[in-house]
Amino acid sequence: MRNIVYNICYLLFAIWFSGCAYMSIAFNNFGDAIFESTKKVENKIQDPIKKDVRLSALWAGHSTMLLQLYDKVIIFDPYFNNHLGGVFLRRVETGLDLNYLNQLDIICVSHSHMDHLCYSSIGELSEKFPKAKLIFPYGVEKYLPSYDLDMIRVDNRMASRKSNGKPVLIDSIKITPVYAVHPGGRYAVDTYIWKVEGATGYIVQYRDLCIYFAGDTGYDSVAFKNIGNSFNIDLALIPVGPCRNCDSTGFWYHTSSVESLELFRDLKAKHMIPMHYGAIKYIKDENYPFYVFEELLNTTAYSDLKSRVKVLKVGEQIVFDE
Amino acid sequence: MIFKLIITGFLIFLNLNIGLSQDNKENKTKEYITWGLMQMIPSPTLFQDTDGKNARVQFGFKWQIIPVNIAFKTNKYISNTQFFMINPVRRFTGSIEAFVQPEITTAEYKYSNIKSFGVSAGSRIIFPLVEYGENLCGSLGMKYTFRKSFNEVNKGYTGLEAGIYLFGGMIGLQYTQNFNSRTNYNVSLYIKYF
Repeated sequence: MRNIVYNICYLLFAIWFSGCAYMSIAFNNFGDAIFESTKKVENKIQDPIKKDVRLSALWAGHSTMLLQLYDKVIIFDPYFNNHLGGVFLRRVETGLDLNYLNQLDIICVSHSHMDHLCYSSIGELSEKFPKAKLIFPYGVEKYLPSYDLDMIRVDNRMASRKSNGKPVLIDSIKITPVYAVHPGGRYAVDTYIWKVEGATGYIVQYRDLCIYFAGDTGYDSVAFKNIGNSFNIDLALIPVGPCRNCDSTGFWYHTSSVESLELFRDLKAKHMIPMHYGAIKYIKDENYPFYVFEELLNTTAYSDLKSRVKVLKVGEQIVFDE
Repeated sequence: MIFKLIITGFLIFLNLNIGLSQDNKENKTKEYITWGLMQMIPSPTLFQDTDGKNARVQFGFKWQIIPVNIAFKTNKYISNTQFFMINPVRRFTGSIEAFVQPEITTAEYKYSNIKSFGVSAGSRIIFPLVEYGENLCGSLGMKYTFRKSFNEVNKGYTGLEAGIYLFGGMIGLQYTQNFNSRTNYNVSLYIKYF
């Protein structure tokens, strides 16, 4: 019996010591989930959908973005829960109050990881907006239950470093899946060992607007220059972290702070909103990637990008006039 | 020592796999091998061992095999029927399944006059409780256990099973109430990945 306990302890220590991301997150979060609580967001916006707006973006926290493109409303990767996987604490609650949301046309899910595909959040949206369309890439269907929504799988299988996926036209909105350096799956081994497919970025085009939503992605200069050359992007929604040494490069599945700026430069987009930080403590402080990002923006190497980067607080909305 | 070598080797394999590749090509061979290895992880179980006068608890293991699972809430792109390799999402959002559980105790039964190895077969229904079942789901089922006595007479018995599960239905507690006075119940820490 003593040997069994000893071996189990060894196994847990070995997994943790090996750098297994899931175990690291577990060790970092488990105590906090019991003894701490999610920070409230005061004064949530009561009119997220406005009249006569060309383009607006509301950051609901993490990777959840609510966009208004003229008369159309799109939400990306809705995740409203205060816990991740029922255990890990969300540090700051969602900045979007669904009671104030009175229109939604499209829900886009980039991949099946728990912080991007939240079953109950999509369930809430499907109850309130049964006519909305749910868009997701190949592979994610394996991780989706059935919702009372029009569920549309986009074909991202042709999306590669040098080419884009097959576009679909939904309510006059053109959605093109584009390359993302990220695995699918949801439960660790299916992600890292089996490499289940199912992660994408999105280009959304409506009237004269072109939006890029990266989802989760690592950095690949060839791929993002290709996207930048293929589309005239008005607004790029780009993840920052998680990363261990955020001012360095070479991360496989997420962009470090410096890589997210390089990605923005490759895209040649007019504006960028950083996301995917502040909600979940992955490796270090949940805001660490953003602190490094801010520092980098103040260096001469990236000063040309500074005026085009729009940093939002959780729950804050920006309206683009131009 | 062998256990440690296997674990260390597996972790090196796992980290090499993450580190050296950026492409997302699914590898079915690797998928089946790793899935097969993970099915060998047993569910630790406590079995009751009694002759009516004396009683004790016997430690052992069960293995979870699901030959077929039929889901109730699948989307239009996937089948509702799965065989052996069961996607947890289709399972915990609501499904019915047939299962087989080889079970063994680490020592012989002392009072029950039954052999340490047995096989249960039955069916259960899985229902979601929290977050579509991913954070918490439950199950109810019935099964028959094939187990012989020391004089090779079949001492099979039926039982009712109830379970509650976390983490996508992959870890949980299962309680079985047997209609058999010599091993009235068993309690398992349910472990099964896909």
